Amino acid sequence: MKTSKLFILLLSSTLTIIPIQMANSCSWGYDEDENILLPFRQELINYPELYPFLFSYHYWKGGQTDWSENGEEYAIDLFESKNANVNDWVVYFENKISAADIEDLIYNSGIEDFNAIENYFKGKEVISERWKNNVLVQYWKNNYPSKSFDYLFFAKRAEPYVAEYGWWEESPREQAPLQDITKNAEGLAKSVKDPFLKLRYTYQAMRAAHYSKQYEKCLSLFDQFVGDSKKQETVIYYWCLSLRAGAYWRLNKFAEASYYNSIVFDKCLSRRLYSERDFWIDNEDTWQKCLAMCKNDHEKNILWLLTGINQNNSAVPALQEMLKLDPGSKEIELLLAREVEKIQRTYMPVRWSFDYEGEMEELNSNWFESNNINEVFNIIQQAITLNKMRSPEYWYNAAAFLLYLKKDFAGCEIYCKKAMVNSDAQSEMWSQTKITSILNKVESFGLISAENEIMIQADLEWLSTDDGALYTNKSDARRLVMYRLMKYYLAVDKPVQAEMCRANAVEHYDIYEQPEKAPVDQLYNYFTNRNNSDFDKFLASIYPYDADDMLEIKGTLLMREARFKEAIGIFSGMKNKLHPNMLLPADPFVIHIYDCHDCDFKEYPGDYTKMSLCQKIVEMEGKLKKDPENKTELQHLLGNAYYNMSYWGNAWMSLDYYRCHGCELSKVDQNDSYSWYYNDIYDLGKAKYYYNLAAEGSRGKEFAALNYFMFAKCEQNDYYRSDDFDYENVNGLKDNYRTNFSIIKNKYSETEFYQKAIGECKYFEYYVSKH
Amino acid sequence: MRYLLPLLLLILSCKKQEISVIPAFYFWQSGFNLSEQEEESLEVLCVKKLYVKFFDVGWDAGSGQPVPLATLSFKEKIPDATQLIPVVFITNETFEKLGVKNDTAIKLLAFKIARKIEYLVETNNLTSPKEIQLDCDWTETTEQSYFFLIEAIKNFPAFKQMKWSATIRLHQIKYFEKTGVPPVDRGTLMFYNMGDIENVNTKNSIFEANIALQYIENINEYPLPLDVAIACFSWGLLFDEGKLLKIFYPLYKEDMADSLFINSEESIYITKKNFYFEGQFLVEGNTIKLETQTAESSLAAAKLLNEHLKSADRTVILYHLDQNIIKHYTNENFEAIYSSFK
Repeated sequence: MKTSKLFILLLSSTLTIIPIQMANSCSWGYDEDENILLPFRQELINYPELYPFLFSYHYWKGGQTDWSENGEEYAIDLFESKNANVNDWVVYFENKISAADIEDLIYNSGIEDFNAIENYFKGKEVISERWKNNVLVQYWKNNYPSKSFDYLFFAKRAEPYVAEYGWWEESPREQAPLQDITKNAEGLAKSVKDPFLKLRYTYQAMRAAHYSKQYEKCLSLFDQFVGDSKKQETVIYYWCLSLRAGAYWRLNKFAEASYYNSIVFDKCLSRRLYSERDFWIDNEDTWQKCLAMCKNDHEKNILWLLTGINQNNSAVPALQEMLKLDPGSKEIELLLAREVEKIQRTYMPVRWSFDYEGEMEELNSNWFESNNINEVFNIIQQAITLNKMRSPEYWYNAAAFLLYLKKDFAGCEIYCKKAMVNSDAQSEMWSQTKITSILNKVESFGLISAENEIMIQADLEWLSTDDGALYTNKSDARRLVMYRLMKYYLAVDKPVQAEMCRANAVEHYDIYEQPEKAPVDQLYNYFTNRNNSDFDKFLASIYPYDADDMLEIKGTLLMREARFKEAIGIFSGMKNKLHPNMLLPADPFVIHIYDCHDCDFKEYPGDYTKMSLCQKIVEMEGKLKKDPENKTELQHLLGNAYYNMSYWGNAWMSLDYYRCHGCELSKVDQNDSYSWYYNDIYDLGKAKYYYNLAAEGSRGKEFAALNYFMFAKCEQNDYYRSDDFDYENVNGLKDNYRTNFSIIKNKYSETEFYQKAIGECKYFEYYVSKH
Repeated sequence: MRYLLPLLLLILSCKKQEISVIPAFYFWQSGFNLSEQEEESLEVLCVKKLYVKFFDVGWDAGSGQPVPLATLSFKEKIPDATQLIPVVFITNETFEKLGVKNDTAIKLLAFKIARKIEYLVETNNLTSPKEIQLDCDWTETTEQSYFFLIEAIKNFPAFKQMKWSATIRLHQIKYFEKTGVPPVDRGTLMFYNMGDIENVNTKNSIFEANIALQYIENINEYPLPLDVAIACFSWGLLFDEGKLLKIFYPLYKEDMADSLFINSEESIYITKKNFYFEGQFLVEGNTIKLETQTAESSLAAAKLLNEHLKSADRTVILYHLDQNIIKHYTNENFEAIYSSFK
């Protein structure tokens, strides 16, 4: 597959590609959740407390939703135990003590801090300003002895024995201390009067019992101190319930475990993720027992939601049941959103599939089981008939999108209208409807016509605007539209318009990668055609290149063939003579023993453009013919220019747009689809021609040595590109590539240049030492 | 006739033969707590080696790291007469995700695996193993990483004297020049799971003689000495609209109640209604395909393999020791499988 090949190529290769303009940092490869074009936004249902259960690759594959990277969107704080616990204490202290002070004491302190604080209360020790200024410490000091301080000190001492371990950490729970904690906490739960603290001691006792594998004890503690009465519906009540569920699970009582987990899931955000993870039904008897434990339809609704989320093919039956139990619940909308997302990911192409025509099916592989569109659509219809939906506009939107996927264009339009009627204008729901409607409209065209072009232009402009959360979905929809338009234009033999649409459909479009293959003339004519329709003009406006770009490419391609006069003619037509691609960063006529592009960019910046370089070469070659007096100097300078225009020189960008560092040692397989990555302009024929003339015609020995050396450098570079090149012996001697090194050694060893070359060029020095 | 009895005794006895076959089992359950039947099988069959899966290593997408999964809990000691060989199964995905040039991460993973094995041996008072087996269905793309991990784990100080073995799948035997040969002392050829499991029309993906034959032509050219593993199990493959959703393991015919399934074809069961089954919610119309290795088919597999393997001392491992599985075999059935390699 080309894509994976490309990825491997880019990730594993030590070669680097440097474009003319420094490329924006790009990361190749997407998160699995972003692999597919997703014009329908799953998060349309705005229930942050249920967001972690939206459909996600990470959820499916990893057992938990990886929503950590989407913190802002998913409001992580909602599910944090710490926040819930601190808030509980804030309420306990009647909002007189700040959450920050409570949090600092509970979560940022050690046993030694509590020891110091206790001694401070007893007047035995001076404590730090940090604790002295803590309002909770002050409160305790004023009310010492304090039961709440005693409890938190107890909890602090228990911490080391109940800490969570990392995946690979191996540390057996110490049973004796855990049993002591259970016993002591139980005793304190009995003796303390304060119901808040009684519950917390119970939690400590249950947790230690659980970790010491005393599951029956854990259950009896719940029955004894917590009970079924929900007088204390604090966070800790549900944490105790969660431990109760865990104990049942360990005792293989899965009906009880799953039922209590479902209650915790429903009522306690700080245990929601764990309780969903731990929901497990082994067989139908367990399931029926679990359902029978439910006290009302809402509880059953939650059980069906958990089944729908947990089980990869159960969503349709779960939705059916939820429709009977509570058609207006958030939960049914969550499950519907998941199913629509699964269907979307089944039908929509992989993000880069348009880049490789014909490989779409190969690239789009599902790792999940998607339900049949008709089955899910039937559910939606039933819900609409019942008319008890919580967010009717969402259901209409979902119906419209499914019908678009089914290519039921008329049906889709009907539901789009219903969704629009039920949505606030400019809301996310409204925008989603519009996205679906546009996709549906373009798909229903079947062909392109002037009328269709007029119909779609404003829609495309709207899809391009960034107005908030739906931007990525709009952007994906725009690509789908552009791909369809490309197909339509190809069908009516309008390749230029098709190319413009393709540029906006594919994941990656860069005309400079293979400029010789670009339809430069057709594109130029299109940009300059005064008879273009409004839509033609619109397409031109969203195409990433313009008429000047085409001329610049055309001129550059002519330069590659040394057709400088023609290139000048083309460049002259450009409106912007200082087009970024025209500028050369260094004087292309300077040369050194050792090539250093960056040094030249810095020390010999010059002000050459591609056009002025062409003009200079034309002028010098003309002069060469007319003025034989200074010919060796001119020949040398022309040799420099041709050398520098090649891959090897400081003006490589005059002929090319990308330079592959390290590729000089690679062989190019022209059949490789990515040969352009390696395929640079290595030819030094003209440079060698001029250096040879300059060397042979030179009257001075120093100048002759310089030109023979430059000729030799060209030979050395040719050697790198040749089949004779030996990776294992980079410095190795291949005499047929060193003819000019031998001339310098034999004829010019007394020159100053000779000594300089030995000092700067290790190849030459190596050659001299071996011969 | 007077020669027959000693011959029979020779076959059934635990004494070393000319060609030594070491009887062994895989143990792939999550808790080590042998049932009476399992213990009896080990004893009667003179099982010398027990290849015990200590834990799996899989990729955790949430945290973006390899993690240990399904760690074995020891509820009783390994019988004294039986040598324990820890096995660690590593998913190929783990290496795909780690990538080919992630030497540091792979070394770290090797270290973590080694530490975890060491920890499980120490904390459960197990006899120090003489051999450790790594199990991974590696491919050409993950070969480099997997082999690098093997080299790294071999350097773990406590394992310097350890013998290492690795499981070898049939495709890795046939195409060993492409997929490479792991840097271990011995390979264990898994002579099962050879068909296309995801195709509902595959007759039996566990073992089919004609498919097996396609893979073992060059078996004796394989550069490692080979032990062999023979399948003795039955499983159910859940298909929903032709797509494989789940494997129920182990699963036998007697688990398929008439009240829940219609036995439409020989090994095909269609669900009659929606219900939970073995931890999975089944929807009316789902298909479960039962693929069963019987005493006869396991023996046939052993004989077929032995016909193509050059004679050598080797360990024959039956997959796997579980009372729900071994109750479908007699000890004579197992003995016959072992003996077919003598």
